[in-house]
Amino acid sequence: MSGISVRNLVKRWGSVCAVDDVSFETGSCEFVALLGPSGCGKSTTLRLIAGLEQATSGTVSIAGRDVTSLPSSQRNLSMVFQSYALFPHMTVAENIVFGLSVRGTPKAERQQRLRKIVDLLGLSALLDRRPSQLSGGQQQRVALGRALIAETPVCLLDEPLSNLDAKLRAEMRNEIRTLQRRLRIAMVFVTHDQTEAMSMADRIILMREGRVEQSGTPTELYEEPVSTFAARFIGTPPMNILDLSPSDAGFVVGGIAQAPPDGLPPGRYQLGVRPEHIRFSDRGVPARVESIEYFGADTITACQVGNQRLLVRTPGRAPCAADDTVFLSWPESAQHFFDEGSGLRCTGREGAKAPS
Amino acid sequence: MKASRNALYGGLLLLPAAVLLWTFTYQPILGTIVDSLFSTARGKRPAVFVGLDQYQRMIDDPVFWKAMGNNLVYALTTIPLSMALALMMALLVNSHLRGQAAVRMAYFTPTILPMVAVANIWLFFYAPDYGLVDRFLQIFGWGGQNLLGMPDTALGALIVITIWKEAGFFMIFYLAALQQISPTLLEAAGLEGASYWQTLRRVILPLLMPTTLFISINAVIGAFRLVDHVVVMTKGAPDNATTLLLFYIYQTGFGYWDTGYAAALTVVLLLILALIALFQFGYVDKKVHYR
Repeated sequence: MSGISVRNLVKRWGSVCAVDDVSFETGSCEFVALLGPSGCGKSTTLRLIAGLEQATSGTVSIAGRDVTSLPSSQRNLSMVFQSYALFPHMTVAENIVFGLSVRGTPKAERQQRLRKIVDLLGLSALLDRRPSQLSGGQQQRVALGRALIAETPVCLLDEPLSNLDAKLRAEMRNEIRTLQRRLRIAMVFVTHDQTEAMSMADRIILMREGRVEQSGTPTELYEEPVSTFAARFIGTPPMNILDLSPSDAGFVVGGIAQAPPDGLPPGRYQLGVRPEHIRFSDRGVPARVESIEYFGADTITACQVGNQRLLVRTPGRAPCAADDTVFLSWPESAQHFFDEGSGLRCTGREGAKAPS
Repeated sequence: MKASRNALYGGLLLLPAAVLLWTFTYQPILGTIVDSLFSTARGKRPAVFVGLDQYQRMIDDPVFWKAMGNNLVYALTTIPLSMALALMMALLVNSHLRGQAAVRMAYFTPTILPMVAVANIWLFFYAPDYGLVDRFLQIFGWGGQNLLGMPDTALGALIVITIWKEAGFFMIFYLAALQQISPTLLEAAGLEGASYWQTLRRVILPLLMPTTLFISINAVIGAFRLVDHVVVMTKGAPDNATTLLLFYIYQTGFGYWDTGYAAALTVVLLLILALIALFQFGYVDKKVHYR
């Protein structure tokens, strides 16, 4: 195992448990996203891997070596901080080679590696500038350069894109991903933005209240969320979660019976359907259109079903107007069932009869 | 029309500050320069214009040169030593120690004491035979010395007091500056493999430079301005060994009432301070601000 291996990691501050029994492994050139809402422990997990915090219990191994009790400088990793943490009194070049120079790398090698990394990141024209004379995107690149010049097998990124504007963010997303592929290193990055995680990562580790909620490829998280939390966190807009009222006919949404999945014991369940899987049709669940948001390529229509709200995403313009009564349908394969109490997924995607 | 109104209002708003500045700063400076070109009025003899005679006299005055030399030694020892001590204390109390607040207060206490009180306390410390310092020196067999009374040690004794008093004051500035440094920068330096000393030398000290400049300006002014302890402890004795420039001006002006000569000495002191300030603001300032 040449990537990072985290086992039963726990971090407590007094009675607050920031990271609660977190375990995962990454491949040697995998791009892993630690995703979750603020306060879920993702940044703390990253800082524990980096050695900036001491774990209460559990172990962190990098490239097969237990580094739990080593200081961050000896863990053979590099890190890009959210604020970039560039030294304001040093030039771009001095910032990038800082690590090499304190570790006593010979000057000739330092210059050679600097040239290589600077060409890679397109910073050649800025070498003599101070961080304060750079734009946000340029600072981000310098921070990346300082991390990548060390040529460590593992690079950690703490919310690397959060300080950039939307356009630059999309560019850097591509750039970081390309760099990671070209350098063939393991990257772990923290983000609260599911779009970032979905579009960049090979694997997403979704965290909630200090625990790993779900770990898997972006496709797995999107197609088979393990809980209503995961379902609501992934996707823009997120998955619709509807309460099912039990009745003689099985479960009912908006007065239309939903056949229960095979072998589901009686109880209270919730139905999840992604907005993009719902269609307007002539039969199905009756709903009233509340509001319409038009984005050009697609439209998001908010509908009222009974006393529940549901979002529908359709390509192009919506075929209805506010206050219209419409009928909604979705394929059976798009249905997800969750236990209402625990929020956990009940069976596979199949198993229920769709309204049609 | 409108522009002239603005100028009027602007001028009126500036007036109170301008009056104060003129009355208590610029007018006295000009007055001093003018006075330095006249002889001292004595009895019925009024002051007469003597040109640069007072300055000529200064060049031939051995006490003036002694005072200048003393002040130079005093400044060159108290400033770097008190600043270095201040930095060390700040680094120490900035780390997470038990009883940190008590240590900070202990370091700062000398600063809040008036210099006159400090000087009196140290008079006892320096007292031969029974003073604290002499008692300590007796352990090594060097007792029985009147440290303030011997030409070789008197200035040194005053320098020690000054460092003791100023270091705590400067520490506060360093402490404030240290707390302004983002912990992330230090984490980044550590992660890049820098040792404590490398971080100190290559990250912390450069980031403290604006503060160092500020403190050094204060320290220079202090070195030429603080003479309370000379007045209380030695009055320039023995043999002018502790005569500092400002004390000499005070003695000349208000001891011998030779106001013309005192004015000329004051002009020299002002020139020295102005030159130092120009150097600090014009040259060093450009090198230490990174933002």
